[in-house]
Amino acid sequence: MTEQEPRDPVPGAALENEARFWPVILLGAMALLIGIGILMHYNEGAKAQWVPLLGVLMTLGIFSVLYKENPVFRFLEHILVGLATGFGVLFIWFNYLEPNWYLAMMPNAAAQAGEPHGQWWLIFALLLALMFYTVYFPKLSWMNRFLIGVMMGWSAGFAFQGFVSVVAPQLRTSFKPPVTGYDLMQGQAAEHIHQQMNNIQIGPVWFHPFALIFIVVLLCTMAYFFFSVEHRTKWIRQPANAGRYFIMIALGAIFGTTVMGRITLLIGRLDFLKNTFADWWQALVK
Amino acid sequence: MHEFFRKLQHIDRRWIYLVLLIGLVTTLYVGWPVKPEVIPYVQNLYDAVEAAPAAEKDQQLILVGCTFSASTMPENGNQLRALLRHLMLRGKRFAIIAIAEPQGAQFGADIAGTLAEEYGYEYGKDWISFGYKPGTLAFFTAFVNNIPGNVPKDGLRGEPITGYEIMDGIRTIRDISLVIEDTSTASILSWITFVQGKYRIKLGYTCTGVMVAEAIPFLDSGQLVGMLPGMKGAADYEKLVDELEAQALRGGEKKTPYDPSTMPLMKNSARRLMFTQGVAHIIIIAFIVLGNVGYFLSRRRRHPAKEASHD
Repeated sequence: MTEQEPRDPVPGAALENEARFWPVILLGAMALLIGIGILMHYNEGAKAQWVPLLGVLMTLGIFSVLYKENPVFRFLEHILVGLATGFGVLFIWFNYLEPNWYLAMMPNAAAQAGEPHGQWWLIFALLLALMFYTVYFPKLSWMNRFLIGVMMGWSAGFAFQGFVSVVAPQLRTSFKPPVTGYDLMQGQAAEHIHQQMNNIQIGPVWFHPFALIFIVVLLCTMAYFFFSVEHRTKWIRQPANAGRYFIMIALGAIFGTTVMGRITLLIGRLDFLKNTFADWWQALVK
Repeated sequence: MHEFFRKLQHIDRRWIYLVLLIGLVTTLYVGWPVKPEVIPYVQNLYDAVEAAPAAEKDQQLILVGCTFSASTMPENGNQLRALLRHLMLRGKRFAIIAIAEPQGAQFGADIAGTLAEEYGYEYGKDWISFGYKPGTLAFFTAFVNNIPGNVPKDGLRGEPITGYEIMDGIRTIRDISLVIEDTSTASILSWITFVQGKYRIKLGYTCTGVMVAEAIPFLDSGQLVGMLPGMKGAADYEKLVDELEAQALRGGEKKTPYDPSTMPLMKNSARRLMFTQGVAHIIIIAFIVLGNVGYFLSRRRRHPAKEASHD
């Protein structure tokens, strides 16, 4: 292995220089996959054998990008996206649209006994949906704008509800007194929470150190985004600087959990490979 | 020497991948289940499940959202497994639903079905699948007011939902004692906006590691009762459930301990995978430290006088 390879001088040049036999090989691979899929559909025994093998081949093919960008990776990447999309479309049709819209709209004969049917007015849902595509016809594009306008208004109304539901409780709980003359946690699992929050009782007064930290961090972070006053005097500049560090700590935490999440996914795939190879080995030595 | 420091900062990423790969594979073979310190969010969710009335006499259910796909199975799948084991050990009745993620309906039913065999849960009596539902605003607003009307058939057998014993007395969201959303999407915002905020339903959250930091404010405000953050959350919860199961084994309520290898695609426990996770973190931190040491040493070499004056 060498050091970082230089970037392509022209983006896409590497793709053009690829050998011409790759499309033929990959098309053949796709035909093979379709054939295996058909075989597995009609043969449960074949399914049990082919599914792990395909899983291993696909995983190793996707991992091959870690060494170098290559056509096999791109082929499998497209297969993955295509499969997920195809699965989603078929699943939504057979589990949602067909029973709730198509069969409900059809006359009596198409629906099962006791199912809703003959609701012909549901056809208007399709007509409304098709109006989105009028964007391709300049003379009719006003229909598209009408629909988008309705949806924007609808979404804006619910976004307002969302703001109240999502943000209002957080605004309320951001009022945290650092010192109180009474027990804030009264009536709750006080001992447990006091221990968690490191609350300190000094005579009749309760001191809440986490609340104080929260207030300092909140005000400093807000100061960083407060542009109505120029950040020249130390009264605004220093809290804003501190706020910048607090934001960096938060972003670091987000990055850390992101790394943790991605590593977990890698471990999941490696665990799958390990288990599959172990199964094959056991089958071989039997 | 300077060349060595320079190289230290420019290690080919493929060496890093190789070291990581060797470390992970080795620990997958020789690792052992860790005993994690349970973080408060996880304990809170566990306590919420313990407190949720969902036995047959309560006429209420726990609703578990399976809004994830194959790509996040190691996180969401392990979280779901630990959670459902808890429900089954405690005899809590539950329904699973996949909002806005079709694959989740399949994975959720597979995991619940495999565990149901182990814990003696009966479909339609102790648990049920609501299947896949599109996570639209229209669905949420209709679903909360009329559950059987918006889930006319179950997700596994396609039979009328009202025919199942578990659905007796279940009409609206008020008959759901706890909602737990196991997700890799932003679906929790829909639950908070259209369900928790309006109906004050208790809401738990199990999410991928990427989504943890953004969810912390919701815990602080009480909008979420608890959370399982990524694989760490799954391992913590698994530890609590394993302790509960050990009690059941000692009391004779359960005969054999749960064997994770019976679960297809998830044959290792989250606690064991967490050991591997820890090793991965150590390797990554070591490379970060190595790169930084190289940076500072090479800088010192370039500007010795400047660095000395700083000292």
